[in-house]
Amino acid sequence: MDTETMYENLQNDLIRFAGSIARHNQEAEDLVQDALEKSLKEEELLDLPIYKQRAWFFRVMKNRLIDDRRRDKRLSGWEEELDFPEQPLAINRLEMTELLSHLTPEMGDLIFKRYWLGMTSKEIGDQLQVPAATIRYKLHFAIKKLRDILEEE
Amino acid sequence: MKQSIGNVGVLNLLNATEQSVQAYEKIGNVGLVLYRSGQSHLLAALKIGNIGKTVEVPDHYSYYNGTLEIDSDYLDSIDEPVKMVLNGMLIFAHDVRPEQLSKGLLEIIVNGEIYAPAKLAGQVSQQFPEGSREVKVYEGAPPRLENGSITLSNAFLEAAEEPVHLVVNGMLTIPKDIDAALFNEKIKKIAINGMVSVHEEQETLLHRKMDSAPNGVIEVIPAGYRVLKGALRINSRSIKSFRNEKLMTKKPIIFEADVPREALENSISRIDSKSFIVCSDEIEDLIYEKLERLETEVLSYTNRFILIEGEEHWSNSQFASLQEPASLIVDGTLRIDEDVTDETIMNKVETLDIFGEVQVASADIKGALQRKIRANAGQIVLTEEKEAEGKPQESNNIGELAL
Repeated sequence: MDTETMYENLQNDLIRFAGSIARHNQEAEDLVQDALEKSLKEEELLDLPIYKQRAWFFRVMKNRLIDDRRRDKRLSGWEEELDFPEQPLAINRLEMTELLSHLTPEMGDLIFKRYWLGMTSKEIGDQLQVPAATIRYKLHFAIKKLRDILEEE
Repeated sequence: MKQSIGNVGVLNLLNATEQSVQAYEKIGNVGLVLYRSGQSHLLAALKIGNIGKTVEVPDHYSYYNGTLEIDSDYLDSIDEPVKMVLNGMLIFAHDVRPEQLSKGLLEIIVNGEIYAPAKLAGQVSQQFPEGSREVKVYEGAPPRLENGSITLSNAFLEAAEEPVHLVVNGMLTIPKDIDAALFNEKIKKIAINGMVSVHEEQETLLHRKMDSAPNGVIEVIPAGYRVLKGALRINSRSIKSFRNEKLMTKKPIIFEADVPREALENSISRIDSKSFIVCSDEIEDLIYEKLERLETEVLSYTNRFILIEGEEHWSNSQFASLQEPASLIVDGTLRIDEDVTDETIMNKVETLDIFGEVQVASADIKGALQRKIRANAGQIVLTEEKEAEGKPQESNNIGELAL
C-alpha cells in the first residue's frame, strides 16, 4: 500500500473522529493535519492492517489534543489553583483516623493536613518545602489507596 | 519514656494537668483542641504540629460530640441549667414551645448546625449566639439523619408517614427507578454533607428539594447510561449480553482477546470512563470511537496482557516463563525482585502502564522499565527509598485523646 491509498482509505474516518473530539472545525483540521505529518515519519504504518492504522491515527490525534489542553491550562495558570475538593471521602472523621493507619506516616500526615485541617496543597508544600504539585501528586495516591480500602470494606 | 502520637481527631484537655501533659513528647497534628480558660499554658507545653481548631470550654460546662435532640418533655424535666459545648448537631423538636426556651435553662455553645422548627427559628438564633453555628429551619417532622451510604428507594418513600427532611452525612444514591411523584410527595428537603449520585433525568427533581448546593459533590449520570460499580471483564460470550449499551464507570473495563469487532459494534455504543480500558489491538480503533472522555486511557495489547491489581512480587523466573512479551498494567503494587535482569525486562515486557506503584531494587532496572512505559499515572520507586519512607502507622492515630 502507498501513502496516498492509505490516506484515501482513512480520510473520512479521520475527519469524523477529529470532529468528534475537537471543540471546533479549525481544531479538528489541525489535528488531522498534524497526524498526517507525523505519519510520514512512520513508514511501517503502511504495512499494517487498516484497523491498526485507524487506531494509530486516533491515538495520535487524541494525545495531541490532551497535550494542547494541558498547555492551555498551564498558560492560563489554572493548574496552581486547582486542588482536590475538601470532602472526597464521605466518611466520619473518627473512621478517617482508623483509615489513616493503613497509610505510611508521610501519606497519613498529608491526608490529615489536607482533609481534616483543611490546609491547601500549597500551604502543606510551603511547610514541608516541596512544590504544591508534589503534594497533590502524593495525595492522589493516598486517596486512591483509601478508596480501595473503603470499597473492600 | 514519653510517648509520641501521630494524628489526633479531638484532643480533650478539659481534665488535663501539668503532669498528664508531660507524659507526651510530641503530637503530630490535631483536628480540634478542647481546653478550659486558664489552661492555655498546657497547650503551649505540648509539641503539636498543626491544629485545625481550638474551642475554649467555660468552667462548669460539659462537652458533647454528636447529635442532641431536645423535645418538650426533656425541657419540662430539667430544673437546673444545662451548660454544654456541643460539637455536632442540635435539633429542637416540633413540640418545643417558645416559653420553654425563654426560661433560659439551656446554655449551649454549638459548633455545627442547629435545626429548629420555623416558629422557634428567630428565638433560637438569638438565644444561642455563641460558637460557629448555623441555624437551619425545618417544617413538619424534624430532619431525619442518615450517616454513611444510603440508597433512596420507593419502599423508603412509601414507609414515610409524613414528608421527610433528609440530612445525609455520607453518600446518597437516587436510583433510576425512583417514583418521581412519590419523591415529590414524601421528600420535603434534602441536605447533603458528602456526595450525591443522581441520574440526569432526576437532577431537576433533586435540585427542587435542596436549598443550597451540597457540601461535597453531585455526580450526575447522563441519560441512558448504565453505571458499572466494579471492574468489568468482557469476553466473546459475555459481550452478547449487551445490547447497544452506554456504559459509565470509574473502574477498568477489560476486553479479552477473543472479543470480535462486529460483536463490539453491536453491543456497546458509548463508554464514559474515568479509569482505563484494556483491549486487543484488533479492536483499539473501535474503542476510541466510543469514548465519551478524552482522558480515558486505552491500553492495547498485541499478544497478552497482565493486569496487577493488588500487591504482587515478580521474580526473574516468572518473567522468563512468559512465552511471548506481555503488556504489563500495574493498578496496584508490583515489586520486582532483585534477581530480575535488564535483559529479561527488555525481552519479556512489551509495554508498561503504571497507575499504581512499581518497586525495583536497582536504578538499572528502573531505567529498563522506563523505556517500556506507555501510560504513567503512577510511579517507579527504589525499594530502599520505600523502606525509608516507613511502614504503615500502628495505632498512633487516635480519634479522641483525653489527657
